[in-house]
Amino acid sequence: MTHPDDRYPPLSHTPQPYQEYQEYQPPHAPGADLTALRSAYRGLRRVSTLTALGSFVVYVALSCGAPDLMGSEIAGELSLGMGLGILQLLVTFGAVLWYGRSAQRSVDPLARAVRERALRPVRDAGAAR
Amino acid sequence: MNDYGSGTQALVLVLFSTLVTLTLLMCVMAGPDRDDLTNFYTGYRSLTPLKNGLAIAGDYISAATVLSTTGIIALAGYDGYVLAVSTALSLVLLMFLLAEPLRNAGSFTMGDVLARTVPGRSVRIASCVVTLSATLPFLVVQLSGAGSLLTFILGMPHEAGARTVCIVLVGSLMIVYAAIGGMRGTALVQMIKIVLLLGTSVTVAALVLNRFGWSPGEVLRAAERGSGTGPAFLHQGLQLGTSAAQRLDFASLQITVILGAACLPHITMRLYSARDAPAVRRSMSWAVGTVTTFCLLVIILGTGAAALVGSPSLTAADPRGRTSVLMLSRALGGGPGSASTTVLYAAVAGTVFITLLSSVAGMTLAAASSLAHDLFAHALRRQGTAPRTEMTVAGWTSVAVGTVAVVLSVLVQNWDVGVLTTLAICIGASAVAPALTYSLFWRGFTRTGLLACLYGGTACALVLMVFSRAVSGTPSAVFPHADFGWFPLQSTGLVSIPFGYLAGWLGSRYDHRRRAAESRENRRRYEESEARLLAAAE
Repeated sequence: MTHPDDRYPPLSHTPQPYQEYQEYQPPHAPGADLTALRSAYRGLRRVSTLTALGSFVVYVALSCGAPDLMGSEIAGELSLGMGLGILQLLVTFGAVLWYGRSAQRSVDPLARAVRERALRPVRDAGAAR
Repeated sequence: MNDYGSGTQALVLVLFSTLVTLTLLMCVMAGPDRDDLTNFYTGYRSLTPLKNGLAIAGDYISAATVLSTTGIIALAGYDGYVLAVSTALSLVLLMFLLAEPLRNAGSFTMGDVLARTVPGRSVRIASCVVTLSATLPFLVVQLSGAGSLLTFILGMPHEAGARTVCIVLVGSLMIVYAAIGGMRGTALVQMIKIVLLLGTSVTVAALVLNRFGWSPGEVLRAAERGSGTGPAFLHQGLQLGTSAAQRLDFASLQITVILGAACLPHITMRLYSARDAPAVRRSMSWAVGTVTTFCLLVIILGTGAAALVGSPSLTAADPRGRTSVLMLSRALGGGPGSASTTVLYAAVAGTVFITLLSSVAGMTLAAASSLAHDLFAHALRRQGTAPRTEMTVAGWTSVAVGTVAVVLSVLVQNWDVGVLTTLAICIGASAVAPALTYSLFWRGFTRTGLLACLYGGTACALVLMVFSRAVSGTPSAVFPHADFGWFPLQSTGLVSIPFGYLAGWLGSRYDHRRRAAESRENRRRYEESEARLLAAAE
């Protein structure tokens, strides 16, 4: 079974080497904006991916581990497992809308700033820090 | 077998020819200029998010998804429902995790994304090999299925000659679409297909619900009766069994699908044709919405097939129930020979046909693009290749890939090769997914890690698959009378996905220790291109 966290082992190693690197040898890419954009993307990505993957893993684990619970009928012939499955599909529509909204709010302005800075790197290289 | 009138067949044939003519015409009109690479590979990035989203959804919902998923739901109930959910969520995961950085990092193929931080011929060759080994099995399974499906639809005698003719016919059409249409042409075909598919699915689902007075409970009760399994239809375990090992197998299969299905190269390739990151997000929203709607409809269709046709007739026509959509549409009309039956059946058959054509064309194009762009233009030739040459090569590689796929499909048409779908998804989850996640999100990823990921994940999935219970040792296996398997599961994800991630990590650790200079260079490249990766800033 792939635990959701398996997708991220490398990320836990990343902050320290990058910060050292930044102190000694400032990258000529726009620094502060890029850092903010990176963490905004990372936050959004972690929350959304882990929620989607996590809920499905729990669903499959329950289906296999507790078939009697998932087979119990909640309304007429509809079993709990079937209900949860369809619910996940319905929630997907909302999740996609939420993701679009959040990305528009948190990521897009920062990405625009990074793009604009990349166009005039020389002047802002000093101003950024 | 052929219990419907010649009027139906005539109508089906007319519909098929109309669809083929129309889509071919569109392909030719939309086809790229002879020396414009961007147009061939991405269609100028000129599609609106809605259109691109529909094309992504069209590529994602292959004929295998439509036919096998409905079949599994009709025969195994609950297990099929879970499969429908994992199929939909896989695309959601692609949207949340990979879509935007992938769009910013890549230009035409997966090789472009991977070679961004680790340039070199070995990486290009590896990504081409993995693209081929993930697309070819998928292509073969759909083409060989096309043979039996078309003979079924057209009511031809079910013998090898007729099937070979059908396979060659579909194969030649697919080559034409891919070679002439390029990304833009196939995008148009995918859009037509997904609209037709949604239209007919909504109609058939509405007819099913209407038959049972719009009461889901009634449908489920009838499905329990029709499947002959009673309440077990709504419990996990009909597909693979209920022992602990079989339950683990089921969980492994679902996790593999959610991680691997959307990573396959013919789907990620569509992302590069979005204009920018917000556009790819909107495209994916449309794609996810469409696919999720379709998965909800498939649940109704599969349950309806179990309720109205019944499991004995379904398995008599195809042991895996892949004809259940067609049989359902025949059962829904007013009776054999009536006008409504004829129209409904022809519509569903036409949809299945265009689904089949467009999905094989999309996969051929993905494989051919990788051969032309990664292998020919970047690995074989050291100096730059003229766009015109690369376009010509891409056209010919489409022909080559298509021909190889047709020959393989004709050779295996008498075997039950459904396992190849599982193999393709396993390779997607154990080689493509780790390579892409590491390459996009880990600055410490190096050449050895990348190659270990790609080759190791693919080899692990391949070897385990060959010795799995899906290939030998069980009555439903490819070789039911032989038994050379030692891997006790039907799908390999449980072992091969961790193996792919581990191989990538260990390979990179090895480079950090032994080849520090080169791994520092990889890290520098990652940091240099990070502004482009996150913000599309040049």
